[in-house]
Amino acid sequence: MRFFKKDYGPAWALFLSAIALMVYVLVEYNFTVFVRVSMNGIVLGLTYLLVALGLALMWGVMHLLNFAHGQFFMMGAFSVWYFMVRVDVLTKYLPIVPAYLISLVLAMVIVGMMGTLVERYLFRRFGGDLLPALLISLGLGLILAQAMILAFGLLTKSIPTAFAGSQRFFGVSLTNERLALVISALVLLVALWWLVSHTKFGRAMVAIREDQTAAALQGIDIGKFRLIVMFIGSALAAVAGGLYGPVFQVTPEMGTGPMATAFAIIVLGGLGSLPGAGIAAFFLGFVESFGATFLGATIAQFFTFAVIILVLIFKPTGLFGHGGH
Amino acid sequence: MPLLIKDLHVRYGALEAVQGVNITVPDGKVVGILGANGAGKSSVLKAVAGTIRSAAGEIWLDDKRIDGMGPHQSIKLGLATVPEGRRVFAGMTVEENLRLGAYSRNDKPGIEQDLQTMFERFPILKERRKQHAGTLSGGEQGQLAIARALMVRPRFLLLDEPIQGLSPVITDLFFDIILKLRDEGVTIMMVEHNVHFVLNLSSYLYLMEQGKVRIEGEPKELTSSEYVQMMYLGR
Repeated sequence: MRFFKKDYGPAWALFLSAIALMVYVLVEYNFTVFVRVSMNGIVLGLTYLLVALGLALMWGVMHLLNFAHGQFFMMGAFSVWYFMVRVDVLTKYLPIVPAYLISLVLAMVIVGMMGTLVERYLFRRFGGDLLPALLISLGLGLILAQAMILAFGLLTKSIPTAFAGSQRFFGVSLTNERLALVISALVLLVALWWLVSHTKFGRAMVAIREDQTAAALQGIDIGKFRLIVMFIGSALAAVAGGLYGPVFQVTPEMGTGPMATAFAIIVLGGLGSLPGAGIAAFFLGFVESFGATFLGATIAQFFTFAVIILVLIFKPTGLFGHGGH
Repeated sequence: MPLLIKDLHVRYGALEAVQGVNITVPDGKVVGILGANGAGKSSVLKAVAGTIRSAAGEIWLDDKRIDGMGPHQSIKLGLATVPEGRRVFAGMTVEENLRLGAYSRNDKPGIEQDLQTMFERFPILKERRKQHAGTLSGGEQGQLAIARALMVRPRFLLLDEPIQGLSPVITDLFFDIILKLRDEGVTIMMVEHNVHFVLNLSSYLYLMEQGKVRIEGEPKELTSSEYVQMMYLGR
């Protein structure tokens, strides 16, 4: 009966409040409005989750809060734009769908490699010291955003859609672009879940989270592991940016908002907890979508952070955090 | 000579915890390192295990120099460690802990066979195989820590205070386990506070004080030393 433990009280309170909010919307408005707002919440929640999972992985394994993560997200979107629009080799010789998928993979590889280089030559020097790494990542984020402005200018870029048209669900239309985002994100999440829960890599990750020295004594190469985690985390941010880009817009500042939300997600979910991040991401996605529709964007943001503060007052380690860090 | 420590120095900032220690552990023997808290004995063991870097000196395992190697490299040479405080993975089951012990191995049938061997050797672990390691008693965690290290199939075992905080009954059990491992040909270097435990198990001993080896010799030589009698045996 672990889900009924007293420890999870705030998680249950949040879950029941969300249900109550949904029932209110259903009663007060109509089913079509409810579905439209829910679908938007799912799209936002999945995007934020991809960004937040990278952060949660890095914190869990490396005790690192990478504030340049939002800019890795932005770099992912820029990479896809670069391969699809700026260098049009892919779109010239290939149909748009494979060109887009190849651009996404390239974005993951490029940003993933960038993450490993940052870990190897910057973060590792501080041996798990939180503050210097935090400052460096903040600075790195600013440099990356400025570099994009210098290289490609301030103007908003748009990525051509690879998935034209739309589908109807319960009388509400959802663009194929957003549907592709949902499907791709779900595929990535299942792959990540499988990696963490069914492989030697996942067992090693859990061991490192619990006791890094004891994990090293079992033969786990901690240095190599940190590089792999940094690659996966950065690539997740990149693919989130690449999926978000065609739906929204590509700008050098586009990483700031999702980064703040992703940070709020991992704090709300409990630092390092992957299921906690999942639940918090959907919660914030829904609050943003419902709030923006019924209350206006500013009040929605106020409401989001009020809930986070309330949860942290009653459970400072977040919904599923166990303290220790 | 499987393990040779030559003029080892370990520093923590300005503090020199180990100052030019020389230790030899012959093949198939148990060698003990004794000493009070802060004598530097655990630092010697950690330097051999690769969890801390030595400042100077050399550590040789057979004909390979291992100082500067990480644990993930030395484990492939057959070196396993039971760390101080046992450090089992509390959130994992007993079986998951044991499987993690075999992380450096790729022979699946061999791992399954060794898992069964551990369950035969430590029946309590078989009984608790699906239980989280954090819920085990100190003695059970101690057995799990040794079994986890044995999943490496080590030729060389480092034990850091293996009986710390354990009851006399469990201490006797550990005594038998270590003797059996020695008889199976595993070479053991052990750091321990409990003088009687180490004296009865080791074929050679080093007594460390303030980062240096003060006295070394066979158990008989040490017990006949007036200094050891006065400072460590309370006679």
